[in-house]
Amino acid sequence: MNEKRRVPIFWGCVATLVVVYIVFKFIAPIISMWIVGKSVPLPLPNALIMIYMILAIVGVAIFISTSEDKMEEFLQPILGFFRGGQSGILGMLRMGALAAVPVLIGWMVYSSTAPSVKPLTAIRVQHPTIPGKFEKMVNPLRDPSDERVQKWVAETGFQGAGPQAKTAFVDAMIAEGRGLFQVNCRPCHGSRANGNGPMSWGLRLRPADFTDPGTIATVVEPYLFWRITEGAFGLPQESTPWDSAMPAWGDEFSEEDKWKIIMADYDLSGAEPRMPEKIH
Amino acid sequence: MNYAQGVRKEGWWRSSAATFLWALLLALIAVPVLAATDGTVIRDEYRTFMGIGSRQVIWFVAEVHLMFGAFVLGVPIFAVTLEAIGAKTKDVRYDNLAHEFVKLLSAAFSTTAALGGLLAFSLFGLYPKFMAYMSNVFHDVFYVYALLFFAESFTLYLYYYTWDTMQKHKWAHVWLGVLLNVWGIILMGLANSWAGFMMSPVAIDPETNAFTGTVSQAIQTPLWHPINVHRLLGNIAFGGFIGGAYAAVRYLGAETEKDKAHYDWMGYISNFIGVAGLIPLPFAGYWMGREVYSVSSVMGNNMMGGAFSWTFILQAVLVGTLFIGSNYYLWVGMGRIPGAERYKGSIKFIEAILLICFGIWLTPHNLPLNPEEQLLLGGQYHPTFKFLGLMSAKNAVINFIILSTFFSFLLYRRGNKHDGIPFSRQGSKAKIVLCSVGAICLLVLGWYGNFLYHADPAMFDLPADRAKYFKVPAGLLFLQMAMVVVAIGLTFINKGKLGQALYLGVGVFSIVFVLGVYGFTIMKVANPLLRNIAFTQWSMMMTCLLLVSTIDVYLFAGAKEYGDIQWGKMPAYSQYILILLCMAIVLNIGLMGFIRSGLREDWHIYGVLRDTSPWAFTPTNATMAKMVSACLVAFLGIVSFVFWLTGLSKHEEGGGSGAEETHVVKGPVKGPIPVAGIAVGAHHRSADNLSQGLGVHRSDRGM
Repeated sequence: MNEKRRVPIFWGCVATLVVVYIVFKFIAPIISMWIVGKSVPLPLPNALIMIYMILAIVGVAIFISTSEDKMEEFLQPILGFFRGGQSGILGMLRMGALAAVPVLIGWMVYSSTAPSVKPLTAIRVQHPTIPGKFEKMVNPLRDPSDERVQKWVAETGFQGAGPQAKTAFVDAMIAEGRGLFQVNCRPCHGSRANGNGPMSWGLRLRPADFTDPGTIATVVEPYLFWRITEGAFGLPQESTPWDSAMPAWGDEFSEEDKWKIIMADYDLSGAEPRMPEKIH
Repeated sequence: MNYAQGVRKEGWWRSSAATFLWALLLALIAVPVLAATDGTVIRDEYRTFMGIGSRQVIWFVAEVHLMFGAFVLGVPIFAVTLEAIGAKTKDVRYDNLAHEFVKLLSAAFSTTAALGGLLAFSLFGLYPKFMAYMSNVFHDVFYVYALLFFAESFTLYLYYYTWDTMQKHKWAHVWLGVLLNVWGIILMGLANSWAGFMMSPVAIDPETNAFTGTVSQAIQTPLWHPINVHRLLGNIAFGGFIGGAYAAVRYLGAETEKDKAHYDWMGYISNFIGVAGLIPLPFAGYWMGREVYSVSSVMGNNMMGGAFSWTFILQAVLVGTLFIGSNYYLWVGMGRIPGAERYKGSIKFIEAILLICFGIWLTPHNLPLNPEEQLLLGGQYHPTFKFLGLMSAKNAVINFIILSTFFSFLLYRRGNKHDGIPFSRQGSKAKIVLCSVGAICLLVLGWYGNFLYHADPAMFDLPADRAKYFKVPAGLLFLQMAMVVVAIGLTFINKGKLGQALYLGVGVFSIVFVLGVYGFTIMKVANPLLRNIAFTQWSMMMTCLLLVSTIDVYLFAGAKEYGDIQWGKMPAYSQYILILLCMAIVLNIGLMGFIRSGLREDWHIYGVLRDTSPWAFTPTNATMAKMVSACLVAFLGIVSFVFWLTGLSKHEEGGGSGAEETHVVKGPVKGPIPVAGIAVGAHHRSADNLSQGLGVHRSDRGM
C-alpha cells in the first residue's frame, strides 16, 4: 500500500508555531528593512508579536479540535511520552518535564510580581481630543471669499480676476506657508514633512511623518491649527503618555500664518486634509 | 380549564401587568417633570442612589435593559421568518422552532419592560435636569412610545397564544408576527431617536441652548437612521447567538437522542441567524462611524483615533471571535455530515485566511511600544506594519472574513450532496430566478459604477484633478458586472461551479487585493472617497453572496445525498463555542454601547447640555471592562433564570422538553403541518402518525 506520508499533527503544529515566531521575530524586520531602505532590521514590538502568537496558538487549537481524530492524533505523542515508568533516559525526561511544569508556573509568578526596571509598554492615543473651540474653525484661505481675494489682488497687483485670481491666491498662500514651514518647522519635521528634519534625530519620539496616510490626512485642518497653537503643552490629560516635543506656537504666528503653514503641510506631504464630511 | 391553561393565563397577567406598570409609571413620572419645565425650579441637577455614582447606576441598568431589548426585538424578526419558511415549505420543524423562540421571547418581554421602568425611574430620579430637557423635547414621543408598548405587548401575546389555534390560518398568523415586528421596529426607532438627539441635536438656539424645533426634527437627527440600521442588524445577530446558547445548554442537558437532535438543529439555525445578522453589521457600523464623524470631527477623532481607539481594538477581538467561532462551529459540524470529509482539506486554508485577516483586523496603527522599541523604530509607528492599522486594511480584511465565512457555509451546505440535476435540464423557473438575481446584481453594480465614473470631485469637496481616482473603483464594478454575465453563462452550460469560483475569485481580488491597497492612496489624496470605496467593496461582496448562493441552490437541486445529517452527533465542546459566541456578542453590545455613549464626553446632549456631575469623565478601559462584565453576568443570569422559568411551565404543561413527541429529524419534511393532533393539508393524518412517518420533531403543545 502506497499511502502518502505526512508530518504527524503534533509535530506539524509545533513546526507551525516555530515558523510563525521566526517570521515575525526575524524575517518581517528584515523585509521591512528592505522595503523602507534602512540599514538595520526594523523589529516588531513584543506586544504585537505576542498578539500574533496568541492568534497562532488559537489557530492550532482550532485546527486540531475540528475533528476528534485529529485531536486524538495530536494528543498521542503527549500521552505516549507521559505514560510510562521512571527509569531510563525517557523516564528521566518524563520526570524532568513534569517537574518543569511547577517550575514554569513559579517563574511566571515571580517574573510578574518581582520588581523590575524594564520599561513599560505604553499604549498611546493617536489623536487626542481636540478642544471644542477649535473644532468648528474653518481655514479662510482654503476657499477664500471674493473680498479676501480682491484685497490680495490689490496688494500684489496680480493681473487676473475670478477663478484665476482665486487659484493664484491659494497658490500664493501655500508658497508663503512653505516659506514659513522651512524656517520654523523644517528643523524637526523635515523639508518634505516626513519627520526627518535634522533636529528630529535628537528627539526620543520623532515627529510624525505627514506623508503617512494615517497622520494628517485623517484629521481636519482645525486639528493642525490646535496642535500648532498649543503644542505638547496643550495636550489633554487622557492622551498621556504623549512624548511630544512640539512647541506651543501660540501668538508667535498670526492666525492667517498658521493656516498658511497648514496648507503647506498638506502640500509638501502630498496629502489632502480630511473634509468635515457632509451629513448623509 | 386545565392546569396548563391556568399556568398560561397566569403568565399572561404577570407579563401584562409588568407592561402596564411600566407604561403607567412612565406617564406618572413624565407629568411632574414636564410641569417642572414649565416654571418649577429643579433644585437638584444630580442625585445619587445609596451612595453609588449615578452614572454607574444608569450605565448598568440601561445596558442590561438594552440587552434584553435587543433580544426581544431581534427574536421576532427571525421567528416570523422561520414560521413563514415552515408555512411555505410545510416543514414543521421550522414552525416548532419559531414557536420555541417566541416562547423565550414572551418570558423575556416582561423582564425587558420591568427593566425599562427601572431605567426610567433611575433617569428621572438621578438626572432630573437632563430628563427635564429631554421631556421638554420628547414628551409627545413618550406617550406614543407607551401606547406602542401596549400595542406590541398585545400583539406579542396574541401571536404567542394563538399559535395553535391559528394553525388553520397560518399565513394570517405570520402576518400577526409581521405586525409584531412593525411595532417593535417603531418602538426601537423612537428609543433610538433619544440617543440620536443626545449625540447630534438639531434645532438648538445657539444663545439659550433651548430646543426650538418640532418633535419630528428632534426624532430625525442625522444619526437616527445609522443607529436604527446598526441596532436592527445587531439585534438579529444578538438574538441568534442568544438562541444558540440556549440550544447549546439544552443540548448539553438533553437526556434523549431526540432532544439532542432537536437542540443540535436549533443551535445550527441560531448560529446561521447570528452570522446572517453579523455579515452586514461591519458596513452598517462603518456608515454610522462616518456619520458620527460628519456630525462632529471631535467625536469622530475620539472614536477611531482618540480616547476610544483602544476600545475599538477590543471590539475587533470580539468581532473576530464571533466570525472565527461561527466558522469553527460549522467545521466541527461537518463531522456529522456524511460526505463532508471531501471538504475537510479546505478547512485549514479557510482557517489560515481567517486568522491572517483577524491578525490584520486587530493590529493597531499606533503600536504598543516600550521606549527601547520606540528608539529602535525611531517613532511610534512601524514603517510597514503601520499600514495594517489603517481603515483601508480593515475594510479589506473584514470583507475577506465575511466571504470566507460564506465559503464555509457553502461547503457545509453541500457536505452530504452529490451533484444535482444539470442546470440546463432544470425548469424555466430556475432560469428566470437566476437571471432575475443576475439582473439585480447588474443593477446595483452598474448603478454605482456609473455614479462613480461620472462623479464630480466637487461633490466630495475634492479638486477636479482627483477625478481619476474615481475610475479604478468604477472599473472594478464594471469588471464585476462582466463576471455576473460570465458566471450565469457558465451556469447555463452546466459549469456553475466554475462560474461560482470565477465570480468569487474576481470579487476577492478586487475587494481585498486591489481596493484594499488602493485605499491607502485614497486615504491620503482623496479621503472623502474612502466611504465610496467601502461601499464599492460592500456592494461587490453582497453580490458575491447573492449570486453565488443562488447558483448553489440550483447546482444541488434534486441532488442525491451521501446520507442524512446526523443531528445530535456533535461533540460537547462544539456547544461551548455557541455559549462563547453568546458571551462575545453580549460583551460586544456592552462595549459598543460604552463607545457610542462615551463619545459625547462631558455632554449629556452634545454641545447643548453639559454634564457637570462629578462623573463627567471618560472611564478607563479597565473600568469599562469591569462594568460590561458585570452587565454580562447580570444579563446572562437573569436570562437563564427566565428561561428556567419557561422550562418549569413546560414541564408542568406537558412534561419533559418535548421528548415524548420528539423524533429524530432525518431531512426536510415536505408534508402537511400537524396541528394539535390534526394534520392540516391534503392528508388528514394525525400529528403522531405524521411525525413518526416523516421523522418530524414535535414539541409539546398542551391544549
